[in-house]
Amino acid sequence: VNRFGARLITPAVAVSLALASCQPQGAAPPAAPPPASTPPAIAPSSDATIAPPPAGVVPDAPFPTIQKRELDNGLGLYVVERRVHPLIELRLIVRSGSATNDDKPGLAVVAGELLKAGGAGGMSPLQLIEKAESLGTNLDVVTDRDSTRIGLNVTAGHLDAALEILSAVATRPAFLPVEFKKLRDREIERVKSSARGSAAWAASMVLYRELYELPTSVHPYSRYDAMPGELEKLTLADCRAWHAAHFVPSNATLVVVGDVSVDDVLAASHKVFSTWKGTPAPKPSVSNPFPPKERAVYLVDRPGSGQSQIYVGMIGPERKSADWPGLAVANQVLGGGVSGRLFQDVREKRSLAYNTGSSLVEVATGPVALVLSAGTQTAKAQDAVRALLENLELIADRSPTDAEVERARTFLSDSFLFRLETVGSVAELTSNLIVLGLPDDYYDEYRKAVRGIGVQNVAVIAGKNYDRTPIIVVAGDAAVLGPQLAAFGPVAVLNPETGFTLKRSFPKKP
Amino acid sequence: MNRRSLGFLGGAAGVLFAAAVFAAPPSTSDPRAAASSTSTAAGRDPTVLALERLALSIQRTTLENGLRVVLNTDPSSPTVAVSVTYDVGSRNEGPGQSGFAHLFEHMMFQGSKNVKKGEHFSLISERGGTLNGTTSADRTNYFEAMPSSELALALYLEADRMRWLNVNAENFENQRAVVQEEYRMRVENAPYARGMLRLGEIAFSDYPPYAHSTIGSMEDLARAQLSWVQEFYQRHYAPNNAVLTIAGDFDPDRALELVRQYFGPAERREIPPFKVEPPTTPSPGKREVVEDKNANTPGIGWAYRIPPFRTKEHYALELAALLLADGESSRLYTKLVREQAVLQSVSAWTDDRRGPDEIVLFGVLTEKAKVADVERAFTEAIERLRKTPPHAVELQRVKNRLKHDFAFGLQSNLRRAVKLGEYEVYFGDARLLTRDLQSYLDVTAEDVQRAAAQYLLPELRYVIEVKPAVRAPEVKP
Repeated sequence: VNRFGARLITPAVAVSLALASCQPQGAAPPAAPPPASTPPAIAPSSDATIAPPPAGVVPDAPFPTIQKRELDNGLGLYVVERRVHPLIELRLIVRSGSATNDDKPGLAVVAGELLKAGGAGGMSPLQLIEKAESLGTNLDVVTDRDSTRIGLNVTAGHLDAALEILSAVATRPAFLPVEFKKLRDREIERVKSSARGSAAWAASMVLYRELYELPTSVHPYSRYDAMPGELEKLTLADCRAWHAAHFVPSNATLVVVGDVSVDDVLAASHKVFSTWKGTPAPKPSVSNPFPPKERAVYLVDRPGSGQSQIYVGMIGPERKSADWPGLAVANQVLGGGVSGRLFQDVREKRSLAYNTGSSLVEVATGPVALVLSAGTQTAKAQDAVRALLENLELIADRSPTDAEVERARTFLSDSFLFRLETVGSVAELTSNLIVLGLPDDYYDEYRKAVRGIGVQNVAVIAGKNYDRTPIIVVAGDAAVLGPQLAAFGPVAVLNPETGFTLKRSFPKKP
Repeated sequence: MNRRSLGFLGGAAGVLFAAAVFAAPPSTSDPRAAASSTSTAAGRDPTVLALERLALSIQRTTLENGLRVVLNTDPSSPTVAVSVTYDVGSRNEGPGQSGFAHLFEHMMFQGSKNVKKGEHFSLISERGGTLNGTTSADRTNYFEAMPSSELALALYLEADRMRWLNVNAENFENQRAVVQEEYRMRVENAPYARGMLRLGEIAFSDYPPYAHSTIGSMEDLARAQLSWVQEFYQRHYAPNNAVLTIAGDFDPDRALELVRQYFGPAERREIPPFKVEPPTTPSPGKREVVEDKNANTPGIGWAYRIPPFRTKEHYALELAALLLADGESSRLYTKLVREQAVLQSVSAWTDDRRGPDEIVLFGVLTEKAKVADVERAFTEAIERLRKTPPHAVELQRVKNRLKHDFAFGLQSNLRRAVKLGEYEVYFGDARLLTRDLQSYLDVTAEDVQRAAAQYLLPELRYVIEVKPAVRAPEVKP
């Protein structure tokens, strides 16, 4: 048993599947089709070049049908029947996440985890977790900016047992005080460890704080995670109040994917969820952040660190913008996977990073974030920042080539097939529709839009969205990096272990 | 928060199913009763049945040049995965060459006779596919997941680099620098990583193939020579030292035709056999302290040497690892994380190596905890395993979790291709993967106790204590 198998296994390339989609036609690269009857043998000693086999016709695979129902109390059901394997994935999605913390960072994470860790449905914490784990599954509560997702998966025949657990956790948590204190302490330990041990965590804390900065109030997306002092102030009463306000049926959707029928799910969830009540949940108010006026560098100090984590970020369009498919293509050209410019240039040409790429950070309300990243040795961090900025400028200024756009379109469209292979992945995609407020036929429409977009259109959308003043965040050894990075803007050196207080600053080098 | 990370190549495995509708076991509100047996009144257990069907969907053949081919057809998704597993890993590295098998793996993406630098990446991407390669102590694999229409492209690319790898000094220096960044990311910039690497080194100090880590040392990476690439390629990258696995939606006859077309002409070469016997007498236990500037609190790692993966004792010791630290109902999580709050996290695993293996316990302390107290608790947990067979309900729970991993773990064509390739390379028959679940289910409580009593001996324990490095004093601006 090695659930940490990746420890000794070192991949050559870290590939991230960007939000993708499927369908054919696209790829028509070089090569003449070989006659099917007499395949040309590859001559071992021949100098003749052998061309790659021609592209085939990619099979169509639309997103599976979502069958929607609603209980009388307003709880939504999204059911996807998929009977190829005797497996069932379940997610209870509550459309409130850390963006609803208000002035209590960490609240949604702690309250969400406490639903499980504090016992529920008349079961002690241990009884509850034993009940779930005896079914083979983990019971996970995942909190992101816009949602709390309680998830588990079981083999066919255990639908009722799984729903009983979900119902107990979501609607009848025990909130044991002693367990609250232990959980809060564990969270404090976790963030202290992250502050010291994780460059990515430390850089993200500052990146989102700066990207979503508001002059007089706190933007709900500006807090990536909580800090120890903030967690210490949380109370059990806060958790109870948050649960009462947000865990209400009209704010929740049950997603079930796999070897089930919609009628079975309806009947079984009626049994365990129909007495759940509550008034509509409050929604966080979101004002658009102001883009920075000048380029600035935030340097999170990690003394002695041999590698710097670099982010170059900016605010983008809303997730529901009509530009989204074009932006996804532009992002793919810039830094998606192994054929994007960042991988090819920053890694394969300039040898500046193992991990580099760009991503679109999706949020439910207001503008998303666009983030370029690289991890680079301290001595070359300045080169890597410059390389990211150069690529950012290029994607905004100069049109992507036909070949780049064609490759990105096909990849985004066709690699979507892999995201339909497992019930877990289909459950995640379905959940994302709910959280982001996208229509049921979104994925098929998105793939169609991606396939149909022209090079000119991509160039226009890239110009519109990437031609912005970026924020630069570097987590690394400030003693070495501070003077170097001042070439890119005024540098603020922050201490991740004291709540990101200002340690010192360097003026912009002329 | 999500503690169980079944990484892409995470060990215990999972297995997929042939496309079919299975009889569901009876539904009940008592999970223990529901999931406690492998046969039910309503019919056979669906996971067990699915594994039998998987076994039937596997064909194996060997080309004349010695390339072993494993075909696993499954039409449930219009995709296909190709994995080429070479029987070479960091265990084949000589002294002073640590990390080279992995650096070589990177070179395999740098171009071959008909594929220019960068083209491997662009061709796969523009046909909607994904790819990667990984290196472990025991093997190196290269894989692609493609829409089912693009099987030929994956085979073309794999055959081209098996036959005609093209490397030059510029690419070599480029990838050396990339791998050094990988080392900085995974080891130098990650808490507890250095300690865990050191634990492996002392646990296997008497067995040279495993006495260094797969990522290697920065010194050895800096020393690697371009000339080694050709030597390594000639020595290990021949068709008769590899297994080609195809899993997914394809026609086996047509696939085999393509395989013969692309790989058939690859020339067989003499492969030096790997033969390093582990010492017959165990080395005494050892303890070291490792300083770590990324760690906020101490960490403690224990390792014991155990027999190889897929031996009777290994199955039993895997279950012991699950009893100790798998899930939040496990013994150590319950006691040390939730109740006593002396650990932030705890894990236990076996590496699942083909040679001698290790079982590892690893915990990250909380700020208030003392290393001695945690080690006392570890000792108690180990002694309990050695003296008392686990309770039937507890043992059944971890077996259910293993079964669950098999059921969910290999739904994807890619995971199945990778696992089947490993089994064919390690054990000579990919189908053995489909029999493993039964081997776990057959382990008795007494087997667990017996194996623990035999192998988890206090005098043969290897220990690494990770100490947070003292922070440098704040310099006032």
